[in-house]
Parts: sequence; structure tokens; C-alpha cells
Amino acid sequence: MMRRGLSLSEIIIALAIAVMVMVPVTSMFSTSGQQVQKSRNFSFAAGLARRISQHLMAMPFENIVEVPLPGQALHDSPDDVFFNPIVNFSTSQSGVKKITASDMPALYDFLVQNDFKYALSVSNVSFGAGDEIKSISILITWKEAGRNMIYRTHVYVSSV
Amino acid sequence: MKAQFDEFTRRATALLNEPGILEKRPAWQIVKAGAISLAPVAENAVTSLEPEIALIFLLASTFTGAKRDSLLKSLFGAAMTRLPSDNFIRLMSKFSQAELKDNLLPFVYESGPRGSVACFVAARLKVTLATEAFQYFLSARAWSPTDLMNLSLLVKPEEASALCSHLEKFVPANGSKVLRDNINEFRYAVQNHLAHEPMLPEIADGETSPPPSAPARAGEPMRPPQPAPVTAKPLAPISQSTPSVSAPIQTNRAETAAKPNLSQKIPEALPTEVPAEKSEGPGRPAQSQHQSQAQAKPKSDSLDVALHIPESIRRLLLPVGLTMLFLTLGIIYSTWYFSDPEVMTSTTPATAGRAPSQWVDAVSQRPVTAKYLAADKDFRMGELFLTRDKFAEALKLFEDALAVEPAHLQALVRSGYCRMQLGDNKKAAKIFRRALSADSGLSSVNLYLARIHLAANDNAAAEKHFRAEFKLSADLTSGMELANFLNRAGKQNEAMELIAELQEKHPGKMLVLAPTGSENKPERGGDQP
Repeated sequence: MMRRGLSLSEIIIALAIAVMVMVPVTSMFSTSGQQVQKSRNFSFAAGLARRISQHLMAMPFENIVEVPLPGQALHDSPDDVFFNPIVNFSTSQSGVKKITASDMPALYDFLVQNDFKYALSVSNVSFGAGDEIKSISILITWKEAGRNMIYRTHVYVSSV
Repeated sequence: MKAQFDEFTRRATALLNEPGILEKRPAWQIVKAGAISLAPVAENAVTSLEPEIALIFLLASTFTGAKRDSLLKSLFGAAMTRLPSDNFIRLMSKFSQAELKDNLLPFVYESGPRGSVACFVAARLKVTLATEAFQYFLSARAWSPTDLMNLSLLVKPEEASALCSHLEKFVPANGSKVLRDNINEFRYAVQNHLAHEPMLPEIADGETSPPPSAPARAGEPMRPPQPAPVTAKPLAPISQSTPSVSAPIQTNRAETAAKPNLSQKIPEALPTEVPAEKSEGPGRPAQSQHQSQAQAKPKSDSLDVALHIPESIRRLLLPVGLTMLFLTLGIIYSTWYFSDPEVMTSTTPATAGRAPSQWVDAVSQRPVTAKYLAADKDFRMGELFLTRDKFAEALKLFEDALAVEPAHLQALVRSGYCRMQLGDNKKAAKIFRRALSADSGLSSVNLYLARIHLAANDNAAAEKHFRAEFKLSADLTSGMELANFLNRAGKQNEAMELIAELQEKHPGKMLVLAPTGSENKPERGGDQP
């Protein structure tokens, strides 16, 4: 029995319909995925900046020093009991775990993949008679979809 | 005479054993000479010689017209009583369509093996008939399903629908049921293109010659005629197998599938030239060919049934399939995209040791350069001095910031503010205008300019900037400043309306216009907002 196959026009129309359906679907997948990733990174950066600012308030004034750009990589931050934005031994029991690839592989890979770093821009102003203020810009940088992102916040710490 | 026939048979056999195109084989001229010598006894030759040898005799002879037709009819009549060999059918293809129609098709009318074989051979030779001819064939005799299939191959494809319409009108209302069924089954076969290849007719035991085999490879000698062997498995004679014409065509097809050894696949196209046949033992068993067809035929039939998908659904298969494919790819992509970073091993930092020259601010999505960050450090220090009203120190730091990054607008505005506080209103106004030209939406800049113009008693310019600031920020400070200015400028009604409007927006505050007079005039341009 002879069977009629699909004509070229039918195939083109079918492909056009498929493309019309799939382009928004794939872009929806892509857009929503990127938004989720952006939101996750932004939340992490904002939370980290807040944590650093709290830690700066609590740490000795003279120990607040500049951490120049490009900054300190979070996944490779020094095992410093005094100041480590994630492993904060001195002021909080939270985050007492050091970020290592073996112990915290998920967080470690997240930090590595996005290249999260922190930098501190410290300006020390003395008004005399021990009246000093440090203006500290907390800079969190990371990579996102091929772009260098930055989140900035500022904190003033008085010596008094 | 017998010696002549034997001599011609020897020459014809030699011809058949030679490779190449028949008319160009070395023995062709010898055979032609022999055919001329046999011309006086042509009738005897046709009946006495083996069919293939007789056919070569006719091909090589010079008979024309009625004589040639008569000899051909005589030969075909004798040959069609049994299934002719493959070689015989190939040699028949040397005759023209007209000759075949005139001398072969009359046997198709006959019931019995000769009619079935003639129909099969005609289908094999791709003889086609006019639309009007079929009604006579169909009404001439009872037709077995195999014969009907072979007969349907004689229909020109382009005339199939016309033939079906023609036969629909021809079906006799009062005719025999057998004839009606014949026509209906034939129409069904033609309409649905059920037959693809000629099917071996069902003929009785002892009426078969070596079944047609696959075409031999070119260049190999043709096999000389052999005596017809009897098939290992006896076949029912056509006279005994009464065609079940009353049964639906599906039943007949099922019967065909169930009895595959009764039909056999034939090579689709006959070669144009007669190729030499592979010389193998006489009578390659028909059983093996029947068996091979038994394996092939039911498969295709069962596929026909199993894959009988409606056209509408088959048309949807491609778009639906593509959609499913894209969806699958999308799901796979998204699964990978959202996969746990844990699975992404051996990732490395993108940058190491060197700061990029530019970032994108995650809040404002504006570019932030390294120069801007360096200037921002001075700006932040200047802000600290500003908190202690140390305008000179602050101004120095703001200007340091601007020296690093002139585009730092906040430092620019602050430097203007410091100059205004330090009494340098002229330079402050210039700086503020520069800031507004860079960004007309900067808040407070219009207010500072208004104060500077007010201090210079330029009420028109002051009013313009007061209104611009109120329009821009629409806050209580700029509103009160505008209302007080209007009150002092003699526009009490407008000032009262504005106060009422502000009061409505800020019901928790008691808003009162400042008394007019010089005691309320700011000395240095006003407080820091």
C-alpha cells in the first residue's frame, strides 16, 4: 500500500511551530535559571558583607586593616582565628567550620566556581586626642555569567 | 527434420551460454542462419522445440505480421500451460508491448493454469491495459486472489482512480455475486495499491517449470532450458482451489500471508538486456525460494497491519516528536544548570592575583571602576570630616577624590557644598551647575543653588531652583523652603496652599511658615541636608 509521506511545507510548518514553542520555553529555562543564580549570589554577598561589618564592630580597632583588591578568596582565606569572614571563631559559634574541599565540598565548590572574594578599603581619620574613626568599605566581588560583580557597603568604626 | 532441430537447439544453447547482449553475442548470427533454414517448418519448430529455444527461433527469424503473431500465439499457448522459466520471461521482454498484448493477453481470459500463468507473465513484463479492458477480463472468468493481484499490476498507476470509478459504474446490480465480488476485490486492490510485485500463480502439481529465479549477474551465461521439475511440496491446482471471491479481501490477504509458499517475490524490474544466467544446477529448488518468501511476505503483511496509523496522527508525529525532543533537551540542560555544585569538581578560580579594572555594581547594575573605588576612599574620609563640620579638610579630600576620578559626582557635589559653607558661593554655584549638567536628577543640588541665588538676591533664579528641587524630591524640606521663599517673595497665597498641601501629606507635623524678615535668612547658604 502506498503511503503519503510528509511534504516539505508540512515539515517546515512543523519545525516553525516547534521553534516558536521551544524558543520561549528554553529562554524561560535560561532566564529563570540565571535569575536564581543571580539571586543566590547576591544574597550570599549581602549576607557576607553584613557578617563582616558585624565582625568589624566587634574586633579590636587597631586590628582593622586594609585587605586590598582583588581581595581575599573566601575558599582560600587564611586560617585566622582573629578575622575570617566565614570561620569566625572569636565572636560567634556559627561558621566554626573551616571551609575545605574535603569537609564542605558543596560550599567550597560554590565559592570556587563563582570566585567569591572580599576586600576591605579602610580610611583612618584622626580628630586628635584619641578620637579616631575608621571608614571601611566592604567589597564583595564574584564572577557571574562572565561578569565581574561587586557588592559594596560601608561601615564607620570609632576608636572610642 | 529432427537433426535440424537438434542442430538449432545446440546453436541456441551455445548462444544462451554466451555472455553479453543477445544480438551481439558471437553465436547470434549462426542462430539467425539456423532460424532462416528452419523457416519452412516454423510451425513444427515452435511446437517441437523447447520453449526457450523456440522463443529464440522466433526472435532470430524474420517473420512479420500475421505469420509472426500466429507463431507467437502458438508458442505462448504451449508455454503458458506451466510456469515458464526465468529465461523464457526475459526473452519475452524482447518482444514489443503490442506483440505481447496481441498474443499473450488472450490467454488471460482463460480459466485454469494458463490464464493464471499468462496473467502472472503479463504482470512480470509490465504490460499495461486500457481502462475499458478490465471489465471484460473480470467478467470472463472466476478470479483467484493471486490472479486479481497480478491483474491489478496491469493497471497504469495514473489511471487507477479512473478505473475504480469506471468499474463502480460497471458493477452489475443483477449480475452474479461472483462477478460483483471479483470487481469489488479488484477495485479494492487497485485503490489501495495492495500489489507491489507479481505473485506466483497457484497451479497444480506437475504444471510447473523451474520457477523464475533472481536475475543473473550480467556477463554470466544463460542457463539452457531444463525440464520442469516437480516442486517438493505439491501445490493445489487452480481448478481445485476455488477462488474465495465472496470472502472479504482481508481474508484473502490473510490467506496469502498464512500460505506464503503459494506466492513468491519476483525481482521488481526485468533487465533491459538479457543477462546471462548463473550456471547452477538444474532446477534450483523452488522450495528454497518459497521459503525465503515465506519469511518475507508475512512480515510485510503484519507490518501493514501493525503500522496502520491514521494519517492525521502520522502528521502530528514530527512536531510532537520535535517538541518532546526539545523539552527533553531543555530538561537536561536545566538539570545540569541547577545541578549541585558538588558535582562540579576540579573548578578553578577565574582570576588569581590581579584585580579586574571594572565591576558591575550588584545593586545599581552600573559599572564600577578601580579608579572610582580609589576616589571613593577619599570621599568616605571627607564625609567623616564633614560630620565634624571640618569643611576645609573635607574639601581637600573631596578634591583629592575628584583628582582621581572626575566622574565621582557625589564628591563633586560635596566639594561644592564645602565651598558654599566656606563662603565661596560663586565657585560653589559653578560646581553645582557642572554636577547638574552631568546628572540633572541629583538631589539637593538645586536647593543649594537656590540658596546661593537667594543670598545674592536673585529671587527669580532662586525660585526656579526651589521649584526644581521640590519637583525633583517632593520632600518636606524642599517644600518648606519653597513655601517660605514664596511667603517672603510676597506670594503668600501660593505659600499657604503649599503649606496646606504639605500638611495634608504630613499630618503628624505642625507646619508653620517662617516669619518674613532678615532674621530667618541663612547666613552661609543653609544647613547640610
